[in-house]
Amino acid sequence: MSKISDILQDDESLEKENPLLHSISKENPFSVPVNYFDSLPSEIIEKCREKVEPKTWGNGILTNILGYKWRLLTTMGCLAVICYLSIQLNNRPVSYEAIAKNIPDSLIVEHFDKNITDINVSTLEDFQEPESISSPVKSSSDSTNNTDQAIIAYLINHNISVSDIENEP
Amino acid sequence: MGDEISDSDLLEQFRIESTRNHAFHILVNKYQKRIYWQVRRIIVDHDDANDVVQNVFIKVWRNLGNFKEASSLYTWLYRIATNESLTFLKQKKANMFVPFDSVSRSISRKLEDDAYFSGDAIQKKLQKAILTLPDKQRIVFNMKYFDNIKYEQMSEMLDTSVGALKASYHHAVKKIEVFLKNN
Repeated sequence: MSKISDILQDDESLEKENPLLHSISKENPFSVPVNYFDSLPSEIIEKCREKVEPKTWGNGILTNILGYKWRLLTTMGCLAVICYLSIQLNNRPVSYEAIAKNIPDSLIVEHFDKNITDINVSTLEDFQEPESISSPVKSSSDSTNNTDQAIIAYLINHNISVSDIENEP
Repeated sequence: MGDEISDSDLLEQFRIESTRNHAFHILVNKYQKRIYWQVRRIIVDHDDANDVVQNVFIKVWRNLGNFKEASSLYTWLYRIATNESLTFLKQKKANMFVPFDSVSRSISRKLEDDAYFSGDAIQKKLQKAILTLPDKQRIVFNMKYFDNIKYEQMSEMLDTSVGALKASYHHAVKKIEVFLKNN
């Protein structure tokens, strides 16, 4: 710890007590580019004028838009919008039909086989298409009979024999 | 010659609209070297010192009209130059996201290849030693050792008591001597 008397000693004796420092030249070791001090005043005055000149409307807006703060704010705003949209898309409710589309039929059947044992068949009728309830599909044998009868009636009405049909090319 | 005009005449001319630019031109010519070397010793790098000096004079241009002459013009300019230099170093520290001693080390490394350092090896070592000092000690050491400014004047410039300045200089000299011995 330095004593107060040491601190208050005169600088010359202080420097002499420190011979390494005392041996170093006090000449300025730095230099400047050629003609630096000749051009510095005009550079400074030019800058002072630039600072004083009022900004034009367009120039001011452009400077603000291109300014660091604005660029940062714009970037952050874009990121916020992207985050918001991605969260919204992920949280959107998905319909049961869309989910069921991705599940194979075999898995659904297997699930019903394992888990549903007491289905009341009458309740399933509620799920039938309204059209199918009002106009039930006719059986294939009925439709065949109806068609045959119509053909026979047509042949009789037009006096066409079966052999005529067979001889047609 | 511009240097012959007194500070009070210069200030008077600056306050008149028609002679303001001329007066400021004279002021810059008169003080540019002293301000530059004060800044350069703190900042070390020429390009950075050039930026700081320009900022100092822009501040002077803006505020000279309000200068109350409570101190001499040179003391006022010196104070602005010191504050601007310290602000520059703080900004550099903030931009580097590293402690201040790393900024000092970075300046010290720059010194190795500095095209505008014309001193010898021992002078370079002294500059590196000065860079290890805390801000205030560094400024006090430079002012006393190189510019031989009186403590009373330094006290006015740095707004610090003469005793505190003497203590700073004493500690700075001791630290530099240790650095020179060990390196």
